[in-house]
Amino acid sequence: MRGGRLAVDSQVRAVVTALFWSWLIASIETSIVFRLPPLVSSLNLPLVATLAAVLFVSPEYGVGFAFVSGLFCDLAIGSSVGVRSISLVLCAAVVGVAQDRFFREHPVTWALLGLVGSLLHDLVCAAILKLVGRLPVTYLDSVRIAAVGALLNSIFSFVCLWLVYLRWKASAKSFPDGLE
Amino acid sequence: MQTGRPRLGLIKITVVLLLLSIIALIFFIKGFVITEPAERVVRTAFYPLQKVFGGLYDGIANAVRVIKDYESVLSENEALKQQLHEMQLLLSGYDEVVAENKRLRELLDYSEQLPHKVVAARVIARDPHCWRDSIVIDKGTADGVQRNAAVLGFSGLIGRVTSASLNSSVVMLITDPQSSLSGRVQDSRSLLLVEGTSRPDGLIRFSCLESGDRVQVGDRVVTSGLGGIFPPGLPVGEVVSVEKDFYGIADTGLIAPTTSLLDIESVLVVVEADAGQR
Repeated sequence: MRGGRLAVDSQVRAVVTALFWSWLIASIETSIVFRLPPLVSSLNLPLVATLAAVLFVSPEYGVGFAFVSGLFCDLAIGSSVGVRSISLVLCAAVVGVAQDRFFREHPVTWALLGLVGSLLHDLVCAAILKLVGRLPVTYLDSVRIAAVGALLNSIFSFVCLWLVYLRWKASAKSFPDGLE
Repeated sequence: MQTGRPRLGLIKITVVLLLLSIIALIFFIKGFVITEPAERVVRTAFYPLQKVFGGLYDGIANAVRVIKDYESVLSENEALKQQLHEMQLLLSGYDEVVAENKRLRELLDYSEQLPHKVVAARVIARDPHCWRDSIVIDKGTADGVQRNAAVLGFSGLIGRVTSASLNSSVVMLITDPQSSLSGRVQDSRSLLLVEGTSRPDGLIRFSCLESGDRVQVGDRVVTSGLGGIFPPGLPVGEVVSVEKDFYGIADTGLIAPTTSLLDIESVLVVVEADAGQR
């Protein structure tokens, strides 16, 4: 009985932590990243945070985190609700399903995941927006944005996931209550 | 960690969350009201952090600018270094104040010329990935901003409010492919349909509503007021190219908006259109 209650408490804490981090990351993404110089404004914080959650907490947690942060970003910007959550959930699921097939504690893996994840995210986003007639850029531009974003997010993932990895190692490879 | 077998739980969660996202997207596209209250709640929850982060970014950007100035001063003559450093620090702060003063004065001058009641607002969020052409401003229903209110830049129309929450509002820019408005050539009074495009150069498209009307490069376009959303007479842009439509009958072409939409920092929102103008 007591054990069951503790498990529920732990799950509630994990959900609250995920909501908090999603809120924080979506706020930074929507209020700061667009002010950065054009080359750097392709940074994708929710994607990198999703990768961190999948790799260092659990794939199920990562998919949930991807959904919430994607939805928060869409709602905070106020258009095409669902587009970003679809692409982030897809990224998280692909990485989660394939997690056992790569060495998740290797820095090159993080850079590659950032690159592929960013490409997948941007192209899925562009495809959905094109499908619903809301893509304000041309095909060529969307590929250019996706390519620049992929390179940038590859480097960004490398740096951020290394920091998360060090923290993860220090916490005895366990984040029971989310990305604390 | 599970190894060597499919993660059924993960696949189930993914399918459920994807379905939820797709349903949310369909609701949004179909214009069901269910997404709008959610948007309002989330944006109200995001407003304080977005405001804080925006202020924080401005502070850091100013500090970086000051540091850059400092570095350039160090390379100057050794005897003048200290004095120059102080001057640069003063100047960088002064330039910022002057630039802001100029921007606000332009906005104030423009708002005074307008017959409508307007409120000034600051851009607090924008989609960084260029996938969507909308901005979020720091004024909402608490300041009198309503859905469909016209939003102006320094010299003309930039968009309309598509959703307003308590402290913030989403503005669809006139460059968004979803945006369309009724315009008029200022001199000839020809009626035009003005629509957003997906062009990277920020130009918007017009087409004449009457086949006999002629439009020339350099013509100024203003809102007609016939659409029922924008008050008449708000500057939209200047015609930069004219061609015949697909059937060779009516004029169509491109307009350069009067206000650059790439680096908007402050805007004016029409909260009460002049009764005589509407």
